[in-house]
Amino acid sequence: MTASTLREIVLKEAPSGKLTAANFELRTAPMPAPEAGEALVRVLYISIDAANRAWMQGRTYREQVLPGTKMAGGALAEVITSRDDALRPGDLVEADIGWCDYAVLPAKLLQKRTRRGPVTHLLSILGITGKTAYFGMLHIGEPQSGETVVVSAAAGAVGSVAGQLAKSRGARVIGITGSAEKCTWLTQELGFDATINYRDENVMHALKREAPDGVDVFFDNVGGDIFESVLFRMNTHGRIVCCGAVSQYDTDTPAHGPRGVPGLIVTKRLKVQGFIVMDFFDRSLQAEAELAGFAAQGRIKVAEDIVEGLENAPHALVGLLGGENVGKRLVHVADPQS
Amino acid sequence: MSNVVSKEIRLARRPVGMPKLDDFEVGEAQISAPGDDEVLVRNIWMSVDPYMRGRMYDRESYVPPFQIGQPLEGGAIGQVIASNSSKVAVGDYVNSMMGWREYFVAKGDTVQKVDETAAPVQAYLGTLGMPGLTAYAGLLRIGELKDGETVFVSAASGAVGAVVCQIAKAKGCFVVGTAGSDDKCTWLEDVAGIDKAINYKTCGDLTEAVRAAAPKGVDVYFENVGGEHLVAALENMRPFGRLVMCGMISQYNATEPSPGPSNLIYMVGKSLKMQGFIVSNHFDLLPDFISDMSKWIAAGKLKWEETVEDGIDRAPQAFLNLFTGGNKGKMLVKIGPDKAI
Repeated sequence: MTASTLREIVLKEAPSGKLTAANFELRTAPMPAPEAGEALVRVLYISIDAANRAWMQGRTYREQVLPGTKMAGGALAEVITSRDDALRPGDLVEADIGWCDYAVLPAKLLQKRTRRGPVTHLLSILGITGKTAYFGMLHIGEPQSGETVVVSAAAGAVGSVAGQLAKSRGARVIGITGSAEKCTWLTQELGFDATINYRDENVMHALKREAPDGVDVFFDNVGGDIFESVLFRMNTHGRIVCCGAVSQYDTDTPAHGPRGVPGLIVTKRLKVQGFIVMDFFDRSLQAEAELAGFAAQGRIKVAEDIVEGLENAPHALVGLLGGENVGKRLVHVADPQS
Repeated sequence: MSNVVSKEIRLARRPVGMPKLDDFEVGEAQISAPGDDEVLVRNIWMSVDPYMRGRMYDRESYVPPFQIGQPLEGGAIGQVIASNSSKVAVGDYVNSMMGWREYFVAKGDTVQKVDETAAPVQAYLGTLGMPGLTAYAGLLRIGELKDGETVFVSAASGAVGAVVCQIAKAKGCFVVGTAGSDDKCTWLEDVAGIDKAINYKTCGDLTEAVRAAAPKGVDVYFENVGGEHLVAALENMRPFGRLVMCGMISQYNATEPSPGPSNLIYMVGKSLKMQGFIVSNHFDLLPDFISDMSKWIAAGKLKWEETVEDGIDRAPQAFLNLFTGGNKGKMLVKIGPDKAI
């Protein structure tokens, strides 16, 4: 039996400065019924991503999330009732469903997913973050055996996979992260060669020690000062993969841009490239198959950080922006019925 | 051939910030007769280029720094007046990196013969030389320009920028360029034929000016300037746009590295590519470059301007003028007669 109301979390007001849980509110609404071409779905897990915060600023690939509307977010769900031939009850689907426990969406927006291993993998290693790491590291960064790779936000959902993929290509991998526990976890559990705790020491100085021959590939999730520090240590013809700029999302007044742009980009002949995972849509299934293989063989350790309950989604995002997660952060809303 | 005395310009001291005339000195050198495989060249034209400022710092870059008390170096066109080399003959016009001096002796295989019938010889320091190849490689190889795209060029009336603009027009693109005077803007629109020239000194908010000129956004940005121009470009880039990082004249004289653009975040959201390059990594394009450029010159699609200072004594001033916008098109110094023999 399906409940008669649904719960959803609304962005109450646009955050000024740092996001807080008070910027959101939980509300209930009558359970909608699907019309022709639509399906009613029950949300199982919501993906919590730094990009969620950037969507509130509006300068991205996606429409801005406006105050008074349901908070957007990728989610994995199960079809309850369908009025479209393409979907049947029990199907696993993924979409930008938003922060809610039930929703009605047009079937064409619901991407069918096939379970490969634990269901949560569909949002972590086989989800947007895992594939982002895959395309960014392997198609843009292209680390070669023996090269030095630096990953920022290395203990995050993307960074932890990106670093392991670079290791699989024979590179020396240095992770930048924000706590001693994360540093230990990266080297001991994930096999990173070295780490830098940016809260403890100057990143540029630490890189002279950990990357004495310079940096060939920089996979950046952070932007700002860390971007600048690594930029100054790049080797000629190095590649910088711009995957995110989490340091710049949760503020009204972004820091001044990194020094060395454009000067060092010219003199070192660097390639700096931004991307989003949709750019590689045509290669998505191939990436998923390969990543599932890596996970099954244990060549990539899948790190998930699961927060319980829809009502805790705001805290989950605020905490992620503050760097409290290790690996992919998900909010658990319900278990699959089938 | 008896010994000749050659006037030359030396680096007197390393400039701090904007260079001054006192940073340079004029000297004289005795030039001995050419030895085996060597040639004696009398220079006619020399080039001054913004990149030379970088070589005045004592630091590692893609070319070694100039040494204090030694003559500067740079592109020059001269005529061979004595030759013991089988590569070049007396009377040949040659391109070399031995500028800032009146005469020099060098191995015959270190100078490149130029075809004086294809264009006036000084064009090999500009449109048909390094600045032209920089424009060509940057726009087509690094920028991956496609026909019909929208191109935004900073310092559009400079030696590189003007060629970028006209190659883009020859490829059917919509071209917006910036320059620092109304006079230069008029030249860009009326002679070089670009779609919209912006005087960045008087346009107010540059981001808005670019938006008004190219409301559909920019596919390729050709960066010669840095600073506010790069911010404006990032704001106006279309998804999958390419930013060709060629130079940063607004930054060359800065004593402290200045902050980069505060809106670099667009790199991710718009899937942009920003790539730096230097022309010497792209000499393999030379045959294509000469062939395409000759075609475009013959078809009247490539125009250029020269600003000429007369006499080697004026070379330091010509160099300083680069940073104050004192040139239109290629800045040259005439340092010898058209015919050396």
